[in-house]
Amino acid sequence: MAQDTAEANRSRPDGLPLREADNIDEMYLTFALGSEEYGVNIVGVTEIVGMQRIMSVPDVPNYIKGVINLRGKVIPLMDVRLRFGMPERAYDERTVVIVMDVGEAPIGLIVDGVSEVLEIPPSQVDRHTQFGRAASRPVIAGIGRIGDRVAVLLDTAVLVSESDVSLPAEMAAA
Amino acid sequence: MSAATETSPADGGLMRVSSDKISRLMDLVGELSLSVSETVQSSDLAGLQLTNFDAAVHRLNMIVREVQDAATELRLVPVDDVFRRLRRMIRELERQTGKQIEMEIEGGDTAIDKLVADRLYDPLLHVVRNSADHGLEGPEERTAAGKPAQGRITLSAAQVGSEVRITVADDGRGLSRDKILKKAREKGFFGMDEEPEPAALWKMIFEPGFSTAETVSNLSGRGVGMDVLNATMQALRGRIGVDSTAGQGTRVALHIPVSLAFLDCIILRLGHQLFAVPIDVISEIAKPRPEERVGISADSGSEMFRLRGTFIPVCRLDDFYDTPMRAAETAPEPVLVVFNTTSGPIAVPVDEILDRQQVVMKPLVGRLAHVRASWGCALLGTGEVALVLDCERLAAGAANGAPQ
Repeated sequence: MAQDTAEANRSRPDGLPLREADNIDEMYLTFALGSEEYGVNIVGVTEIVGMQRIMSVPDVPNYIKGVINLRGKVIPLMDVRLRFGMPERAYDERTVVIVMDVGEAPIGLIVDGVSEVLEIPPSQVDRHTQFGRAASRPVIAGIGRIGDRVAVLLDTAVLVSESDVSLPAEMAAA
Repeated sequence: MSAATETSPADGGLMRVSSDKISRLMDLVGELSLSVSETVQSSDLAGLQLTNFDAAVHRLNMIVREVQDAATELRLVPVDDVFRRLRRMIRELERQTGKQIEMEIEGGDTAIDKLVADRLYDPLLHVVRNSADHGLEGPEERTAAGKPAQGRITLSAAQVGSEVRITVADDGRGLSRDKILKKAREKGFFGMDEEPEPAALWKMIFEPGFSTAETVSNLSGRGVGMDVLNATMQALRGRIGVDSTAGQGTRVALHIPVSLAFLDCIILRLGHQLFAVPIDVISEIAKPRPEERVGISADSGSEMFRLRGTFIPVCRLDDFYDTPMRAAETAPEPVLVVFNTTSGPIAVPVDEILDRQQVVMKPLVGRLAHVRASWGCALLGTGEVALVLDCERLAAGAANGAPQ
């Protein structure tokens, strides 16, 4: 049974339809930033594409690297490392863009590489409220535990918003 | 458009088509034109001697342009559809205000994109209500001023280039300079001693929440209608102009592009950044000699371009956006493009003029929504993306000492 689930998980990033029994709200696409594992809910994810030619756009913060033309759609790209104040890293063949629709607007997240789609039920998510300043909604929705691994689950609405989301210093050092 | 009017007699030459189908066609035509450009500009063709191919490409481009025009025309409707709805409102306004109003319509056959027409009614209604409510005087006041007792509101439309100009003119009391100036100073738009130009002052009445009506009437004066007007004009890439003469009336002009689908643009390059500028904004493209670019150190290094005896302020896009676009220490840009705006001409330095293209515009949404002085992104035939400059806001922003 355990092997069964693992296999199903592996196949999902390839675009195979989800099983009906799966609760899509509990499914997360995990990706790497440095040595850390992060996750976003797959509800907003529309596709995952390789790095494309980026065309720069003026008047945007440094973590918005520019736009790509994805089959006639103009999609702004956010470098998630820069968004979190982590050191910049040259893009390589593992670098991918997670294209999402957040609040009806498209956005592409540049990450070091995608890992897999995981089902993380709420019982395995620690909702830490101490991340971020108390005044604003935190960018970290919770910490998901999958066996002995850990994924930092992000609130995409906050991630793509304009608010300052610098991570606590010890995490940004990664 | 002309074909539609020719067949309009009741000969069954008209057919009803859902606007969804036309929108789908427009999208496809947009994609077709992009993909034709992509094909003919393919890097695989570089360096080949293609005499016959080039002739075929020329023909293909002509046909694509005609298909674009024909598709655009499918969606054009006479602006009279909107005007007639407003005429019906006049009776209601007469009843509510107790004023006698005559409405005159000129240029009702001017063609306009159905999508624009559908969104024009609310903002125009607001302008007409304002005229009826605040502009026109009551019958007694009018007679005392030597005017006919019946007030007149003239709605007119005309196409000028790729723009449709719709004006709402009344023969009422005109705007009160004192009242508006007092209010504008209170709200901090002007200094206490500042005496703004009339055009700049009249524009204040379109600022959100700016209403000088002492009492809020049933019709207008809540300042909400102005927000609707501003939002609609921004969405339609339009401009508002106001002119008023005390005692003689007020004239509000809305300048709106005929079609929202395609935009006839010149593509400019500054460093690695591409910009698209609607062609009717460009008044001149010049290659200035060094002595024609005059630096003014006393004004924090601003620059003027001397063109046939007049001086035109130079607006640098990299300064405006506070974003470096070219390598430092390179030679000055070889080309200056002069844009005509309501705030006067501005000269914008660029490295290169690339092309003239009918571009497909994509609105700026999400993280791009706050890019200043831009209408949207333009997808070019090469697959590249250019920022479409809103030269009005660029000129206004540059005059206000942008960046913020």
